[in-house]
Amino acid sequence: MTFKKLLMKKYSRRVVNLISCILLISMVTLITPNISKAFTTIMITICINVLVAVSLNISAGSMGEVVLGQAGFMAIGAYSSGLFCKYVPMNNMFLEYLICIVVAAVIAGLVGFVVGIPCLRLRGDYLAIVTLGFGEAIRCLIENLDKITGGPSGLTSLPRLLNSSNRALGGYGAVLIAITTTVVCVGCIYSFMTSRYGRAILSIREDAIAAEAAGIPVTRYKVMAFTISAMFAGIGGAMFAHTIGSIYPSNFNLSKSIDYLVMVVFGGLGSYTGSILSATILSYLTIRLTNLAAWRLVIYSLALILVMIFHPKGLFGIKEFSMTNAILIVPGKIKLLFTKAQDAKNNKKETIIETEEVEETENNKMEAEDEEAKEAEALEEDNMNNGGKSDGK
Amino acid sequence: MENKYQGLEPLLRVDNLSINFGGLKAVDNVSLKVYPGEIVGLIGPNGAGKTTVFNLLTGVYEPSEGSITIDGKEMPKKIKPHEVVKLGLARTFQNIRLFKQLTVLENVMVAFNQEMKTNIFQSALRTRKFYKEEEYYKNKALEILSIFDLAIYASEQAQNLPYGKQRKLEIARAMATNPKVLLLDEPAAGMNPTETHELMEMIEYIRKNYKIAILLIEHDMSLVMNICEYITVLEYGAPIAAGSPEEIANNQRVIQAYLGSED
Repeated sequence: MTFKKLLMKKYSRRVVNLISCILLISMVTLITPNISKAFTTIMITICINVLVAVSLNISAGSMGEVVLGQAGFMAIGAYSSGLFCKYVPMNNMFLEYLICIVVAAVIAGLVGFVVGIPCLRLRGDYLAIVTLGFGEAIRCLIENLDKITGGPSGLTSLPRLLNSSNRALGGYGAVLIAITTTVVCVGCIYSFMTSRYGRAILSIREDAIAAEAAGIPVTRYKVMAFTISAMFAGIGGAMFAHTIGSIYPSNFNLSKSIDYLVMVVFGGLGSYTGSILSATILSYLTIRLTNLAAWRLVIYSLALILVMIFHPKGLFGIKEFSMTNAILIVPGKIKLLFTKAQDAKNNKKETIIETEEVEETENNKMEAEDEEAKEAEALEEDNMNNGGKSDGK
Repeated sequence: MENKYQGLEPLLRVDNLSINFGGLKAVDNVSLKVYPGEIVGLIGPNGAGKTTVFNLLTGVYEPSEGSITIDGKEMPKKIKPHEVVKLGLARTFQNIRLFKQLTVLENVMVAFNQEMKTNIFQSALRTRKFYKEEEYYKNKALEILSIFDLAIYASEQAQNLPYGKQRKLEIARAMATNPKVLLLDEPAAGMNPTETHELMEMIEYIRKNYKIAILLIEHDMSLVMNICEYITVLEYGAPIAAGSPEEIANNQRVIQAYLGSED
């Protein structure tokens, strides 16, 4: 009881998150003592996809509008970062990366703002189609402005800070920078969405008329959500440019936008931890299944169909995963399972003591396994919470 | 009745309010006065234009003629619904409109948004001010919820509340905007007699403790006759009678409007 109360406190939540974060980092380092090139690529891709999926979750999940142009914002971020690198060469790669991120965020945010004002008068399917058109328009624009953007042959030989081949930091440093960027951004998004602004945006999703009657300027908040979503997608694009070193318009086509929407839907529209988890799983699978590239869309859609059948609201629904709550709730659920098992046993009555002992050890095993699984789910979330926290300080 | 509020300024004052939808006069020359601490009823047969009056008051429609004055300040003709809230006008809806998937507490906290002052950066970076403000308004929301006996449901999703409690929550949310005038659109619709009785007591409590003006639309005559001090009756958009509950109950024109004339 007292333990529970202690856990309920605000600061103990932070301690729990910090401990699980340290556990995660040490686990990752233990598993991969020598960081391979493949591992670096996987980690950085996951970071980018997590960030873009979470940014899409602001507009698709929390605001409740289907947006099919997230890759367009990514393209804007990637190209503004790439062009900046091209025209303002710098010696310090790290500083260049930071400035690129800011530039990408500002430009993508501005475009999101300008596009959002007229678009957000529409709702539902109409908005989806307009954003789809926007994404394609951006791609075509980049393809045809070949004097600035290089056209279909793309922008090449850009600095590659987030790549195992970078001379400044090496693979491990690249992974760390990518993780830090994602964690800080996702942390900012999460705390924004749990503030009064996030609440207002959620209320608009639930009932726009009632939100208006409760004093929420609906259009302004929708444009705000859209702009912030675009901003962070732009940051994702800048990270992408810094990973590959060369960007082409075909990197940002419609299927990319749909990939991100799938990630968000898979994780649960409106659940940030859900988006993080599903983006991690799906991007890992995509990379690992490169041999089956032709089957990727089949696997994606199958996964989506299965989730829609068995868990229509996505993996997490609109709920968030929290380590502290897991510690508080999971033992109780296991206890419940245990008592259920015991009840079943009592009903039998004939069973002898020895078998009971066996079952007990089995239960303990189950407990351990369950917790391991939960921990795996918690990993990313804790990262995120820590991001928000260290940011706050 | 008139004497009680003699010399007082009405909190809500509506003069000759009209709106045309094409050739149809949905609201025709309606005038109302609601004083602080007074409960005024707006009744009439279905389609009489009662809800349209509410929509005019809350800026959903722009009136063709007439003026609305809240606490001495005239409301501009072109005004958005969220700006009306700032002037001190809060409303509930005929069909409950809650934020279903948000918790009861969050439902009320949303209404504080217009008062809260932390900006985007303070929220995204979680500064001390953010935590302080969040804590302050959380307590304030719990205070309001406890008036409506909803504090124990604070962390429950709004859609899981029983019907009567959802209606109460809607009123609680309206009260959280700190209104001068409260507009209740059929607050007792779909309630059983016990719930209606509770609701009546609650409205009475709000009237006594907050000194706000309450304008309510209702079909439940026992409720209207019990708590309203003044009643205006509409038919086809036009006011046909106004007065105390007793006067209205015996008004020949009103009985005709509800039951139809003999010929």
